[in-house]
Amino acid sequence: MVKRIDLIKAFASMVGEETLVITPIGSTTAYWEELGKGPTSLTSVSLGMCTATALGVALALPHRKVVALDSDGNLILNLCSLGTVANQKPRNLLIVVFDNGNYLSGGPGGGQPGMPTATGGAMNLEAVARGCGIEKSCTIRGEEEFRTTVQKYLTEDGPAFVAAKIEPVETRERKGGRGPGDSGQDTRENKYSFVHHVERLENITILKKGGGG
Amino acid sequence: MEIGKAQQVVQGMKEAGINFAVGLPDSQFHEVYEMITQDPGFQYVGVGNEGEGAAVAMGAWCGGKKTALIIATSGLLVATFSLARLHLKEIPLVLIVPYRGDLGDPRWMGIYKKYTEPMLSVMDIPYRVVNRSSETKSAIKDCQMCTEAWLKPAAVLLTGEALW
Repeated sequence: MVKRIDLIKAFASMVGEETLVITPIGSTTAYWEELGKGPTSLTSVSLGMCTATALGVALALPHRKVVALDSDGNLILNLCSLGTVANQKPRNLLIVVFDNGNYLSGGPGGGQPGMPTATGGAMNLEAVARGCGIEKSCTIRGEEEFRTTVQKYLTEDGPAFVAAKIEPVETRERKGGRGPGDSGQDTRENKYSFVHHVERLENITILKKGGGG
Repeated sequence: MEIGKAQQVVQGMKEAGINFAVGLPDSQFHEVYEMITQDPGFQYVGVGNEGEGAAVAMGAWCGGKKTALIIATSGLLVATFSLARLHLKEIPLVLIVPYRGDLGDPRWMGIYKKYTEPMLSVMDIPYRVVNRSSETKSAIKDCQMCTEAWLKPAAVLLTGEALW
């Protein structure tokens, strides 16, 4: 089974800074930041908010490709987001879910997986997405299949949904908090860098200038 | 809700520059939702829960929209985690809420009176309770101005003559 980090590296090689990427809290954000992609992405969007936030960005900027790099536990917490996406029909939105079938962040460590998510049991996210009305939905299990599928959906109209089945445990475990060499940003610092990135790309002003007390 | 009072809400949003509305309908605000969905000046997204709605609004603001989340009092309580995350990232958002459970509410909604305002205070979400429909527009405009300046969610709670 493929590793999350390998798919994230593959995805990073397929997109430039003109594609807006939203990542959830946990390993996906950590790996994405290690590749230097954090400042031009909105990262650590937590507990059910990743796909919904990406939908908001996609609807605000319908001409620009937006990708949610979501995860199974995070998405399951706010599964209705998929129905909202299907009804809004954003042509520029791609949702990729790294599905390891467990709550890794709540795991015991030592190379052991966490307690299972619903996808670690009977739930099939591709079927859920399709049932919600996202017709372009699929499941992938290998890196080459991931590359081919994602490249296709990056160029086609969406919305599209990819459930990427990955290994249940990470290559290496990350400890919480920030330390020397950590490439991550403070969540407010990340908000500013992402919004300034959007301002530059779109030649618009989002943040008010000045006005401080 | 009387049409004229609903129009005050929608007009206040327009005068505040709000152009992206996210909502999960509440029966007291049915007319407001109808007007917003039919008005080309608003991009409207109906969501399945209020926490999701706060996230959609956060994304839209990052894309340059001026956003409002229009939800029931119960939904405001549902949205608390997402709103806390917006607060942490310092993201503006106007919350417009038909305030159930305030004095004058003919139904048993006391639980909302008990929790809503204390919750907003604890979450450091500035709010104004509006009792007169003549004050609805100015409250929404003040709320929009301050949420943008302070980079945090802010709320307008409509009750009394402004709602009933």
